[in-house]
Amino acid sequence: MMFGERADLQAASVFGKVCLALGNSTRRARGPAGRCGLGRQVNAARFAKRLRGSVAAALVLAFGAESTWAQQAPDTLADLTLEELTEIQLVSASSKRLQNPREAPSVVSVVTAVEIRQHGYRTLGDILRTLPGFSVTSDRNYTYLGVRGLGLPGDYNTRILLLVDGVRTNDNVYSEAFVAHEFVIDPDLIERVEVSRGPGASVYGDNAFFAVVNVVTRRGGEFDGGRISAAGASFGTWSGQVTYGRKTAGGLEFLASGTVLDSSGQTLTFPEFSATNGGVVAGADTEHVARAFASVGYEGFTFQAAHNERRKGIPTASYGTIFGDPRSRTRDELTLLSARYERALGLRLDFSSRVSFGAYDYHGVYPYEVEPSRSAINTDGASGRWWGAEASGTFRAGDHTLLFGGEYQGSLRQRQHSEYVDYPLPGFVVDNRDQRFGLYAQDDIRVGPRVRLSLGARFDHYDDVGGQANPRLGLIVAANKATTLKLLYGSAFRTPNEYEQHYYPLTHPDLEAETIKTLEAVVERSLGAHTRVVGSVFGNRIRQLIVLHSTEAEDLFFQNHDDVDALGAELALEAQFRGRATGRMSYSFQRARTDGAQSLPNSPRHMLKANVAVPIAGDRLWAGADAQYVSSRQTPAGTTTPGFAVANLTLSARRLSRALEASASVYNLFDTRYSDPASEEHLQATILQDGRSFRLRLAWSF
Amino acid sequence: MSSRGRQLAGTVLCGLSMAWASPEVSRAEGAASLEYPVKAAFLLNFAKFTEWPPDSPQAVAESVSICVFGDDPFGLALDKTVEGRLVGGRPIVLRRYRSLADVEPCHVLFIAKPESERLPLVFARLGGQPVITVGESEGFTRRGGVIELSVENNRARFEINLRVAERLGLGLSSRLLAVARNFATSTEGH
Repeated sequence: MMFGERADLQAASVFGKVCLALGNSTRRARGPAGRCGLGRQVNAARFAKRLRGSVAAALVLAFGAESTWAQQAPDTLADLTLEELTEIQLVSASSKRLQNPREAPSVVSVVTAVEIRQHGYRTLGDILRTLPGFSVTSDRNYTYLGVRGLGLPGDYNTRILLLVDGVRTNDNVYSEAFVAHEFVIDPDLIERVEVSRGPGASVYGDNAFFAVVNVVTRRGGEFDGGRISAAGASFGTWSGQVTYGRKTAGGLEFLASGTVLDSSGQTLTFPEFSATNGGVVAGADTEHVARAFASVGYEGFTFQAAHNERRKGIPTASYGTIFGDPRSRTRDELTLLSARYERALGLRLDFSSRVSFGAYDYHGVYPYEVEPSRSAINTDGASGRWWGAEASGTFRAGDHTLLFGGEYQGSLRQRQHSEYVDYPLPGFVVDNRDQRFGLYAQDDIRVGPRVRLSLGARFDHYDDVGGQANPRLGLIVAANKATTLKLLYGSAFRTPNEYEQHYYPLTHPDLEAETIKTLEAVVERSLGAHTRVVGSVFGNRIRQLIVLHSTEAEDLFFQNHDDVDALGAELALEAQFRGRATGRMSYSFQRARTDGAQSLPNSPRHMLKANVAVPIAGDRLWAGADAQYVSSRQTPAGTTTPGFAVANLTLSARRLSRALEASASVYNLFDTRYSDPASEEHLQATILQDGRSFRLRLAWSF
Repeated sequence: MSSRGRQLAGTVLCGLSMAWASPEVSRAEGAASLEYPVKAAFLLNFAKFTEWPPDSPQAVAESVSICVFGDDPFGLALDKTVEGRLVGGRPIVLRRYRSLADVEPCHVLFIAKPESERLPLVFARLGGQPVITVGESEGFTRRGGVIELSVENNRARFEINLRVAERLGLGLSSRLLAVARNFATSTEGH
């Protein structure tokens, strides 16, 4: 820390006064300019008040729940009958975080590489927005995820745990899960995305509040050679990718891939800024992405390195910056390194261990008009470094499958800073080194031929908030051949992140973790071998939600404040005819309350989603269509943004010739005009989203 | 979609009630995966539950040959599975082929994924011999293979192209058919 607590406070109040002189500037959620309060902070106070009397929450449902009935531990597979062989779980719980089956007591959706190709998904956000209960919004700088009705504008995706092959990607400053081009894995390298809804803290600890999203990467052997792809898309967007992967006869498997993307973006009009250049802003919506990934595997050993750098121009003049100034931009860099070792110790015990390292750097450039006709640049940044180690095992004996493990994460750096360039305004730096560890165990028990019980719990210890204990219980009953009933209970927590704790000096040092308790009942029914319907009802009880508040002097601080109770229901239908056609549909309803008051901002009550992929010419040409309806949402400013439906269509061709494949996509096919609620740092109540756009892509394998 | 899907899917049998059609789990997730040990056990069972045409070389051979063409994904799993086992009183021999020119009409021929690109050439090489061709590339049975292995909901499944099996004169036991995920039918193939 550069300033002591007290000195920091003083600096902040000085800063606040200077800010007053700046007129309509600055609260920056991501920068200390936010220490002064003006203009928009009045809104912040209103926002906080509204939150107090409002709602959050959720809904959910799901596809693929598990059916891990018979986990056999045979001495010799060759002695089993065919029927028994088909019941064996191929990938056992050894790789704790890789597999759904271990997570029987939750509701799981899986999206595969095939769907990503057939639907032309460009980002992880594109994938998640098709899933029940998820909504994705953008403010043309970052992309935000709402789950189960809670997607508070300005919140940095902190209530989702996002993993890459089981390794945590949420950083140690904002604990943010990136879901658009800021995300570290290219969609083309995703083997599948496993989304487990409901509290996952009993196995995963912090941030597994509403859902755990695990992105499983593809392996070198699947490429068995090289692949070059290039794409051109609307808004001056070009991207290219080179990948090479192989598995040698000796068993060594490797993959290396690099992606670049460059987009000049759109010329946009914001009526709120009509006094400046008619509200038109050009050349400020740019985006540049450079991404690299490498993995090497040999027997049970896997090493992975992933890096992503993304620079985005900010066209919205957020945080009271100068409208239309092309210097406004952010840069986010995330690097993940991991080494994993897994092995089976006999047929009953699997063992997995891992060490990982993460680095996150954020750098923001914000031009302000500090005096009439004089601008100054505020640079705002954060830098996080952390490492972690984990070991887990799965032991199978009789009717029990026992998962157990321990995890440690230590921060090497958690720095936040802000300063003005060539202008005499004070800046600040805070830094910290927190540590955490967790121990967990889960037992899946076959109580009888039709009943399974899952009991799990995890204990976590954090430097800042002390101990946290979270259980998860699941009762799963096979009512008959086609119907499964599940009753699930779990709790989860989220610790205040470094930004929430130390960015605003007025935040009380005793900020506590927020908690959630979820009770969910699920019915799954097979309709024939290829179709499944899942219905679910759930209730969420959220306590001590961490919310941004404002003093009367309009200085900002975080506080545990809101309690939110939510009810939701979901119905989903999934049909899958392997290699032929696939489809899924879902409806979700969610209603959340705080003290019986109105709904939360950005919390749609109804969502309807559909995905269909059908072959047009054998296996070579496929059409993939998806559509999402999202009902009306409130904005933080108190207005309402109407409901909307967006449809996307992709034609994808494989093996055009021996090595060539191509795809053509239309996004927002019907050119629906819709807006997402904008968070407090915007003058705009809503931000207009992209209209119809196109992408054409070619890939050549060698 | 559903009517077209159903029509193409052919007769649907096995509904392993709990097994909903889930996306494929990726291939071997490291040492702990049982995917290939289980698939190796399947290969053994395929040999066990098949009768070859009485006049075929396969019927009169002194041993039962299980062969792998292309990059062998089994590692030692296949060797361990068949070690010391007999099929119909006959010992099992394993053969591995790197090149198409070496491929012989085995009893069971597993065709590795990369080689599936050249299926027509492989079928041409086999020349209509009664070989249980087994593959794991998507659409293997539709392209004329006999048995397609797949992974669904983290469990191994297989699909049989009954029409091809009949044309080759392979007598597949009802125990195989009972567990098969469905019977694919195809007009293509060897």
